[in-house]
Amino acid sequence: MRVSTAYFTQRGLTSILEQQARLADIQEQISSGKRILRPSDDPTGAAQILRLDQALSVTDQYQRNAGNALNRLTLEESTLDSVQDSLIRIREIAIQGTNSTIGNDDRKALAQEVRERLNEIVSLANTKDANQEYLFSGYKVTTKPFTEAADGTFVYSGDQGQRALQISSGRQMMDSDSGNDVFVNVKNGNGTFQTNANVLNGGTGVFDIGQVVDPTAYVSDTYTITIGGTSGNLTYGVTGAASGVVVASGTAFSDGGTIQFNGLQTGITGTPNVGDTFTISPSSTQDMFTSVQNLVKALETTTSSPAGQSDILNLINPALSEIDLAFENITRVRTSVGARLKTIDDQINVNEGFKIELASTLSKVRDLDIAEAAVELQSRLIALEAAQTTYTRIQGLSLFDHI
Amino acid sequence: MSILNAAISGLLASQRSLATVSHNISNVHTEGYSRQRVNLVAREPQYVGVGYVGSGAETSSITRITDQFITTQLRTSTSSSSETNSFLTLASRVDNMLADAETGLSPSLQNFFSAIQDVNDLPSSATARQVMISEAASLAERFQFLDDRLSDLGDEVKIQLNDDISDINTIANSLAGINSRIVEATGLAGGAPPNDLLDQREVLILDLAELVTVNTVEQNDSSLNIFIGKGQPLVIGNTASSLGVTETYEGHYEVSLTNPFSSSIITDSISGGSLGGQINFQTQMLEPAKNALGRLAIGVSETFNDQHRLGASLDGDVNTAFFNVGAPRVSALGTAPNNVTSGITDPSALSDSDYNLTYNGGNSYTLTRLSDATTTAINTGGTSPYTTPAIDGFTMNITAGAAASDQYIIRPTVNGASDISVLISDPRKVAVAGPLKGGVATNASGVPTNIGNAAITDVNISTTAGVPLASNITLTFDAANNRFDISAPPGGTLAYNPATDNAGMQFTIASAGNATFTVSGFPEDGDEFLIQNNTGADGDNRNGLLLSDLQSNRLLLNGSASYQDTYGQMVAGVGSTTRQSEISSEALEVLKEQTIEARESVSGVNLDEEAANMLKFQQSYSAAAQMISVADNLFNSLINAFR
Repeated sequence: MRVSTAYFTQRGLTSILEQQARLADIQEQISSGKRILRPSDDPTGAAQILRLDQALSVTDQYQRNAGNALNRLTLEESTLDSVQDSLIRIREIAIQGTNSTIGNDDRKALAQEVRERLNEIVSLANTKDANQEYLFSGYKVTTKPFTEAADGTFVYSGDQGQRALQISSGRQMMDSDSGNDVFVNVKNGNGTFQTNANVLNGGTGVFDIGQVVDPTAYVSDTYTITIGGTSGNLTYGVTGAASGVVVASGTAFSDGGTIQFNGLQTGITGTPNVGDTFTISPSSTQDMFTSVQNLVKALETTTSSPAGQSDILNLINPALSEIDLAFENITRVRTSVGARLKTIDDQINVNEGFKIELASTLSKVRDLDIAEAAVELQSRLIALEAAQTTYTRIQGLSLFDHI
Repeated sequence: MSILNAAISGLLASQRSLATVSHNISNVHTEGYSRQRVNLVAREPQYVGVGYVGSGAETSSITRITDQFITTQLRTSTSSSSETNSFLTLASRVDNMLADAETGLSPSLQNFFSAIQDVNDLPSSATARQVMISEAASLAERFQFLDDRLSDLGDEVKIQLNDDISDINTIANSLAGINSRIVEATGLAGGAPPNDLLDQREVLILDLAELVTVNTVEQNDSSLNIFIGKGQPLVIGNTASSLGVTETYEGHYEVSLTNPFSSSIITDSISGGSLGGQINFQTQMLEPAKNALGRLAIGVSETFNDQHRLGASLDGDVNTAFFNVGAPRVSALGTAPNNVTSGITDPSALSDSDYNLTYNGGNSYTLTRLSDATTTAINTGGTSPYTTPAIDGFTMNITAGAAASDQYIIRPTVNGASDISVLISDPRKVAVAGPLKGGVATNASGVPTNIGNAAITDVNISTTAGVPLASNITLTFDAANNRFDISAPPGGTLAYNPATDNAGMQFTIASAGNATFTVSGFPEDGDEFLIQNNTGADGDNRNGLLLSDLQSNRLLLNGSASYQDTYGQMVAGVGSTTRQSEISSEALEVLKEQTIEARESVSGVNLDEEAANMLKFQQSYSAAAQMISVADNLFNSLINAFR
């Protein structure tokens, strides 16, 4: 085939330019370390990179959320641990207070310590986290949850909300518990019913806080136990406000013996007077501060008579039971916090694994295989040199040189 | 004398051939030059009784060596190659714009949702809320930035169209001029071809083919009629028409053709060349990309607003929009009155196309989706103003007053990316809390008063009708009838049997924003639950969690794609269109190269060949001169014989 001289020159030049463009491409890839420089290099890959990038960054965010939840829950856990320490000390004091050998002054000293412990618990319940949010006020994180009213009772101003954080695409984790759940929502008495000895009682009867022995037979009602008979030959009878007579009056009474009816069991130790009354009523909700305050009131009672002594026991015993219930409630919350901490820890590990997986997939899609690229660069350099050499060699040839 | 005459004819023939070789050598690098050849024939011989004696050579013609088939093919491949090249150049700009992580939308979208999560971690923090607003603003700015870049490309298309069209008009005039010169020269030479003028005309046609597809029809007088695109006459004989650029509606450019008799829009007939590439880019990439970006912006702003409205700010406000949403743009064409408006109803059903609404007279309109020419008939039934049902996620509001065949262009998404902005500037107004909360009744000290252990979950709403509540709603359990009595307003009862429903029973109170909650456990008679406004809940992030869920929910493209997916699809779409045009550009370039090679092979000058020809004709010239010398010798011999 004929080749025109002009085209011959042109073609040599075009091929050099082409080789240069290919070289520039690979140079750009190598210097950026990326296989895909613009969407047209690999449209599917480009969309995939966007997706992976987002997944990676979302997972990072989940890790941050999980870290925040972990911090708050760890703080909650240590706060509740301190609360329980205080409760244990209060319980010890309460038991000391039941000792009949200590006098009024000793009890006052004990009451003083319980007060201090109570203040300690209140300030723990008003704990703020590092972000100045109250830990135990539900959603109302900027509202101080527990304040003391003029009458000395404690008012809960938070709400019952519990905040969740997203720690993975399908999992939200509660990062706190409301003060209502931790400190307020505790039953008084033994959890089902409360026992109450009439303050006007003249005898030394100490009312047991009792328990439910047969839940199916238990009937929730307000019962009154009335002591009858004669001194030395005491009897009792029980009447329910709704149930009517459940134990006929005249039933023989024994010191420390059990009194059992409608699925519940209690007892009276000591010697009540004829006409003394004891009542059993359904438990209601009572915050733990009130329970502790009840204990303080019992310890501050001044007495010198055996009857007065039994009055104090009749106050301390329910308070002790309520402190135990409060303790149990906090244990329940701590168990849940512990489980959440464990779940978050696990999730952090899972997220970390997922991130590594994502990063390696992303790298496969986006990053350049440097070794392969270096070989490619070498071969393109050779091609360019060849094109240049050919061009100069061929350009020199002309028949006119030989005429 | 025949010797001398024959020798002189040979001398002349060689001289002409050498002149042509010289002409060829001179034009070795002249663009579009076709090598020329002197065609020699033997002169008519003389009869001398015993036979015919030859009387030398003569030049019959000087022709250029061309191949009409290759010439036509070169025009075609030039047009195609130039079309994809100009498309590719513009498309690469979009491709590059979306390529960079720094300039793309992805990082802004991601940062915005991270900021929401940070607010969820600490809803009471004004700083976190401020960061979220700032990130939202930069997301909006990024939409606007990308939209601006696309609009810049639109301006560039306009400039290139104008440049190309002015080039076409110049070439058309030159062609009309050269046509008349060719007719004249051919006439003067009694039909001999004016080779170099023909080459020049060919070069002009090839230049025109770079700009637009060209077809030619040769006339008997050697003039060429030139047609562009799909048969639009540009040059007829020595008369040229002219092209122009018309902006039919804002940002949309069309090509018009004007001749002495009429003027008309011929955009649909334009194909090939850089002009065709620019028009393709405008309709196939630029406008869809701008619309797709707008559609995403509308999708993000509209769906985000929907959820944001269901949340409560730190001050307890509900029903607050977070983003400004771009409204559809309606352009009345020509003399049509501005009596049509349009609104978005469902961002997930939007397409990335524009629409043409044509009034047919009476109550009848036709809506045409421009991307695929799907039509929808609209009958107003005589109502004015009339609101159409939703079509592709938008509605139109038509007031009577149009004249038959009036047209409107409706672009539902074109403003989306340019008009998105953040409406909230006060961090307190970010609605991350749930507006209502549920809980057990408590006394003044905040201690629960219920006897039973029944519990109520938090309350979610799905509309803001009736929210915030005018007064608390109390649910009181009525054990005798196994139901909760709802306090008035709204009043009513909710059946709840603790024996069978204690695992959890879901209720909805329609008049309180469709408040939905679940009650579980065993309530005692008289136990109360309260549903109330969630005041002071600085730490509540329930709506914030729902807002951050939007990132992964498939809310767009008919519920098939998340925000990120939608953007990814747009990027992949631009990428694959660019890739495709890259591939066809390469292929067409090769085809064009091959055609040029073929043309050069036939018509191009080869210096070595010319050198050989030069030697050849030099020798024949010398030989002819020698013959004259011989004739001279013979003559001298004869003269000397008579001395």
